[in-house]
Amino acid sequence: MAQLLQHLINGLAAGTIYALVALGYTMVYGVLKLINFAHGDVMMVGVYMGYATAIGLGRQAQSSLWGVALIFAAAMLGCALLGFFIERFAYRPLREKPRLTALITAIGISFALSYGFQLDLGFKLPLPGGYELSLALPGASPRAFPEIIRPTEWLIIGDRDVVIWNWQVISFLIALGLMLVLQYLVYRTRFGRAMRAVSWDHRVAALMGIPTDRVIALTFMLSSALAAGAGLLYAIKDTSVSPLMGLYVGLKAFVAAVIGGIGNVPGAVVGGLVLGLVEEFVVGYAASTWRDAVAFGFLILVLLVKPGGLFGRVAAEKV
Amino acid sequence: MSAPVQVTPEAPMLEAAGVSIQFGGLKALTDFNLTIRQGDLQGLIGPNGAGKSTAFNALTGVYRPTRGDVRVAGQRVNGWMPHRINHLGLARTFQNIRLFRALSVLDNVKVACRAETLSHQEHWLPASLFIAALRGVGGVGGEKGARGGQRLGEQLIEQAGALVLQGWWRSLFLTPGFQAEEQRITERADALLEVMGLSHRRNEEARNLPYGEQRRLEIARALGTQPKVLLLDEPAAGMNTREKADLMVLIRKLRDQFSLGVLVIEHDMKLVMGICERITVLDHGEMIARGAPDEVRNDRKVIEAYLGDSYLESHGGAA
Repeated sequence: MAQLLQHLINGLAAGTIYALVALGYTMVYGVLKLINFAHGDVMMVGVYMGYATAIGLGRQAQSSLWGVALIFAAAMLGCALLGFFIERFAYRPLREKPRLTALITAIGISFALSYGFQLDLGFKLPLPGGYELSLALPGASPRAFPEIIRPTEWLIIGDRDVVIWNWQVISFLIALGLMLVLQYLVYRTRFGRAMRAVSWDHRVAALMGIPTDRVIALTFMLSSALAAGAGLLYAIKDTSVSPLMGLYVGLKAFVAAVIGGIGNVPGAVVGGLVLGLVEEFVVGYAASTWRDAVAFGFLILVLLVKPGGLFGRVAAEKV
Repeated sequence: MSAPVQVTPEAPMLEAAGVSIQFGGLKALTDFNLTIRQGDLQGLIGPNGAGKSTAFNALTGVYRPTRGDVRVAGQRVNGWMPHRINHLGLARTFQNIRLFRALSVLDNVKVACRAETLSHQEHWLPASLFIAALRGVGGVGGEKGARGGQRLGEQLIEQAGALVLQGWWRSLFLTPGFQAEEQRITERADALLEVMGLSHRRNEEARNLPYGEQRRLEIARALGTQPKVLLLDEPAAGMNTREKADLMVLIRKLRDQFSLGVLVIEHDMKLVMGICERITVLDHGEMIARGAPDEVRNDRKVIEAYLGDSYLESHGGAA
């Protein structure tokens, strides 16, 4: 029983992170009908932005409250900007082209980011006063992500039957907060209304005076910022960061989005949680080597039973 | 019984001058001319495939005219984005109803309601400096680069402006300004639903409304954009006789209450002849007649091309 509870907690902690990344897939799919395969790699870039900020802050500052807030803010804002540029220069020119073109472009950006980040490029810029500004790509090898939240056991039940770590609680709360903000934004504000209208029919939305390009750009910025937040939580959990982490986490989150019904906001959350729990139980009760096989097998199972995902509606293609 | 023809001295709100639309070798619309002033109630008729909807699409910016000019409120709008044309005061409905079907009735109208926004690009010095700086940077690469730099600067400022000034950002913090704005939009949308007799459906999903009410909701949504000219594409299609009679009264009432110019595409001759003061007849993309209902009814070309071919046959000479 205690073991079950422990797995439940671990699964939920992992699941909320998947859910956050899945929300990005789902929002972009909602407005553009584009599966943004670069989403996971945008997340990876965000993690490196957070990493750089943490290193820049130093050991003391990075684990203080304002330090953590600054790391999250830098990563999320930086990623929002990255998302804006990717949409503006890679996807927007292809808006009226066949959907496959944009999809291939997304895969291209994904690889450009994940492998571009492994290049050994960098330069040093001498600054007055003996300082030096050094900018460099991180290189191929994984790095340890600084402990911006020092792991502490917050709750121990019984004889270490169930242990809840502080980072699990904090990451769960941050993820929950971001989701609530998003929910509010999508269903209670003018921007959210515009987003839902664009998602339903962007041509009609434009004719009703909605600046569709701006809505789409903001959606990208929002989803990228969420990805950065999720990526940091993942890096805290995993205590490492590498250029290829985006491919892996991105793919898992994509699976989560599809399980929930892509394009559906609550579906992405449920999909993420379900995937996190499934993986945790496989690792806990079977073997960790089975984790990915079961995750993708579960996807196939869901699609066999409900082709539109758990919350999705199967829409007949309009002709 | 028809309302007196008002000769308004004001400048035309909508003007098409020699507009042609060509798809490859197909001439969908040839040398189309039209002028609509405030208070006008005009009709656009013609057999199926005559180019009526193409004309609407050319006017509202869905298609860019191959030749000729479209002017809205005195501005030449060729090649403008549809939402900007809409902002000048041109709104429309659709022949095959295109509501945001998953949104509530109220939200459908609210989507179209814009808040009074500040013009954030002009009169803001840091913005101008930023744009000028990017223009300068691009200028290194020649004139084309300079233009590109300026456009990028304008877009970035527009995004930032949208976030900060348009309330999409403010909405995150629930500031009083945001709530007041949301309140005003809701009140305006409710008022429009009242006018269109849809208040009792306020919170239902748009797709659950009966056909006639969906048509009226489309008009309410178009009115939400505060147009000066309203284009109605077959507003009576699918309505019964009783509903059509009500619609005729309603269209006149809307024109007077909202000081609109109205252009109606309609197949129902009784309705068009009953309410329109001036009718334009299209056939094979070309204008074949224009004038008061009686003139058009007795025009030889019209009887040949339109009434003669299809109308007289199917209606046994009811005209």
